[in-house]
Amino acid sequence: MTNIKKRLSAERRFKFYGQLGVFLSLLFVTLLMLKIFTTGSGAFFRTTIEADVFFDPNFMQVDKNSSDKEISRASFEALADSVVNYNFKDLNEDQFIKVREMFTRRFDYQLRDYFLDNKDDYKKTVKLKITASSDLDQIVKGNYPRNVPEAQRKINDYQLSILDELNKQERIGSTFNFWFFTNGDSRDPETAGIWGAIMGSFYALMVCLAFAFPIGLFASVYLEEYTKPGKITDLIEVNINNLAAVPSIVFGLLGLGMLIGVFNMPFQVPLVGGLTLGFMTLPTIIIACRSSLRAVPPSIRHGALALGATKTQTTFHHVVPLALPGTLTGTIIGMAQALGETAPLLMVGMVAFVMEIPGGPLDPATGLPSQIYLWSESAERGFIEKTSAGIMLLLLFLIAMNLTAVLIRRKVEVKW
Amino acid sequence: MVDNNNFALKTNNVYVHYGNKMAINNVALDFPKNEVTSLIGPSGCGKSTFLRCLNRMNDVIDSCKVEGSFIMNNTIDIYSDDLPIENLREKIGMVFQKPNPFPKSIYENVAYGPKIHGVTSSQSELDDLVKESLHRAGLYDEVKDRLTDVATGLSGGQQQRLCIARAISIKPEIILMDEPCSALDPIATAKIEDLINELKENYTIIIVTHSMSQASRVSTKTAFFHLGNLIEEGDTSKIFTKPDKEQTNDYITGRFG
Amino acid sequence: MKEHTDKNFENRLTTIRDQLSEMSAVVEKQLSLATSCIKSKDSDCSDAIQNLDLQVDDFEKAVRDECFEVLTLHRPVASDLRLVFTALKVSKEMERIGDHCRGLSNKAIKSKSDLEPEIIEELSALGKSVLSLVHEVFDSLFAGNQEKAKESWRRDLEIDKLYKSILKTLIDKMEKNESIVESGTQHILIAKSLERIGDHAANIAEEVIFNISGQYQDLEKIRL
Repeated sequence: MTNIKKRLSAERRFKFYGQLGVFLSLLFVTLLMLKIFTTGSGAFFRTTIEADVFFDPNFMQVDKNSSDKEISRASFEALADSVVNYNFKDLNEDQFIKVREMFTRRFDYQLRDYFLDNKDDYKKTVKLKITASSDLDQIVKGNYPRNVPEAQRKINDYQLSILDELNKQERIGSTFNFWFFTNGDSRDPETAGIWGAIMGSFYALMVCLAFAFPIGLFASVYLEEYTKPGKITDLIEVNINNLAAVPSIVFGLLGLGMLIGVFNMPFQVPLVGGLTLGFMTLPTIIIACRSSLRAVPPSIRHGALALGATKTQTTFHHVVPLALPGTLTGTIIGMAQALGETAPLLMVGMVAFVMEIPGGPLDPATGLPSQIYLWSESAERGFIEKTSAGIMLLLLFLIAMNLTAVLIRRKVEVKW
Repeated sequence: MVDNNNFALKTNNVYVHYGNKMAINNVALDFPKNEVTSLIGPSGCGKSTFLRCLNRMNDVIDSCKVEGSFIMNNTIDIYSDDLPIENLREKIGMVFQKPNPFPKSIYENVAYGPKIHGVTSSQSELDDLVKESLHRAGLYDEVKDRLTDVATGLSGGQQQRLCIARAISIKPEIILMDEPCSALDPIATAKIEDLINELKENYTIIIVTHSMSQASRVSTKTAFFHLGNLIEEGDTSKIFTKPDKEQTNDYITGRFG
Repeated sequence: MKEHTDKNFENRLTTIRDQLSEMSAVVEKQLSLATSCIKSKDSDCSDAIQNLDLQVDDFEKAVRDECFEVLTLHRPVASDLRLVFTALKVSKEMERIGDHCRGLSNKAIKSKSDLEPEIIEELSALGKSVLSLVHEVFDSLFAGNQEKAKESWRRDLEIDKLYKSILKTLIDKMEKNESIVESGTQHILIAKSLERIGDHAANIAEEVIFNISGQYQDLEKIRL
């Protein structure tokens, strides 16, 4: 009776420590999220300069009757220059260069893309919102300080004066940066997008899933249902468990040495990246699947066998379907892990600057975490917010995948 | 009284070992056709092991070795290499101690056996077979409106009757029951005992039970096992009035020492 | 036989056996007194028999109630069931023997002593035979001796013969001498009571055979 007070107070203390731990972790997670969000949210908006664009035949190689192919091939550089002159009269050579620098280097592509969709504006003047250069974009967003000496700034005084002028004319705007989601990587931060990396990761994960899931499933079924317990099966199990703990870069080396070295597979493609990730994910899937198979009670197997089902029928009609939800949960977690891995992809070349969006698993590509890494390494200020935006997207995917795993698990528990 | 000339299954010189340990020691036991025979005895006496020999469920256990002769209908050797084990289990069905319906619909549970054995040739035939099996198991009226509901939602007694329906859907000749009521309440137990009484018209039933009162209610022949040996077997009414062996009398009166 | 794991059950069965045993001792005593009454015609005898009869009735009720409890609460089988079944039937037979003892002793005391001593002697001998038979049957019950029980059953047939001969003798005497009709009739009834006691003893013998073998046997056939 006397120690009840001690026990209750120990109870309270323990609860307090737990709650404190939870609170602190939530606090740190919130701070992290806030930091990333505030840094990254800028990437979703880009500064535009409204300009009058006259589709002057004198500066255009194509007209409204040209085919799409011809237009895609044509150069719109001259037209771009003409637009600058049209909007800013009487610029000397030096000023012209400086003003031109305020627009994105991809000005000509922007004009071309517009013309592809609006050929009827040939010889007409329209008001277009041209994307500003990354440096200007950063000044407008306030990421570059304005009140430092010119030498320390990316934007010189003259450009600042033009900016203020445009601001007065209310021609400086901000638009939602769809390009972040539709473009591939680029040397210019303002036009760089993450779609190429997403597709690269997507193809890699598809290859990984197509390789690792069937092999993992059937290997587990074989090991769990068909082998007799003994030294050999124990050895296999220990080795699989160990493989799950091997550093991912080792799998990268395996991919490099075996797939690329021995099988002469192409470098830098999602097929090879996916297979490498598959090697890495296979032990995780096998462990999850075996655990699920073990969780199926023997009474189900006995019930089926006693009805005259063969071993294979029992396994595939009854045991595997019941083990599938657990296996899928493990697979999704494995996939989420694979999504976030850079090291294996590094060794097979998928950490590189790739501009084009890959069309399939055999096109050169980079992965999502790799892209984030590359951007973080870049000197340009504009890539900072892109890095954070990339991290946000990656986290979103990981959370979504893990949530799916949790939902599947919950659905399973109800049935049982 | 038991018709002594008509046996569904005859066993002789049965020995069963788990590794080095002997579980069944030279048992010979015959099972009359269309009668209920019960196997009684204390825990670990080997009655369940013996039962599992009859549909070769002991084959699932690696360390288990079965010897002896098991002849069905005077002609079929159960352990013959010529008889596929799946066909054997079509003729000899089993109901387990804890009801184990598949986590599928009630219909699917009963339809599974006929499907894998290719018993029916059309969907309507299968439907009829499922309906008939559920009727015979005394379950149809309770589930006829919810055949697509998942089987695990039924009560314990209903689940066990579903397992019985599942077993009889492939039209076995013999049904083995391993303590089928031990997980059920008295009402569910009574329903199943009544069902067993009806089923014996069409099937030979061999039931392992640890309840002597159940053995006396339900069976016409009783066999008493102890430490792997068959101590005594005979008509149930005789065993429960005046067994020949003192060991049997001690066990069934509750003199466990 | 091992002891019951359920001690409560074991105790109850022991109680039934003990009560039956004590009851049989009292019934034997009653019968012994009753047969001596035939000759002595001592009225103290009669009082003693009345008291014993009350005890026998109490025993019969006690055994009946105990057996019923056991049936209700313990659901006996095999040897236990046979014990309970036998106890119920045998106690009833014993109780009937007791009633007969009481009846015959009353008649013996009340009747006139005007019969020939030879007839009284024959009756007394019949009484002793019956007493010996009852003693034998009780032995076979508590010793579990099937052969002895069969023997007892056969001896009842002798008793029946003895009774028939006494009956004939008494009827002859009564036909010849009207004055002894009253006491003659009384003594016929005494003889009848003794014969009925013999029958009850034979019934007990049948129950003993069932208790040991688990079957009711057709003893007529065995006799032959």
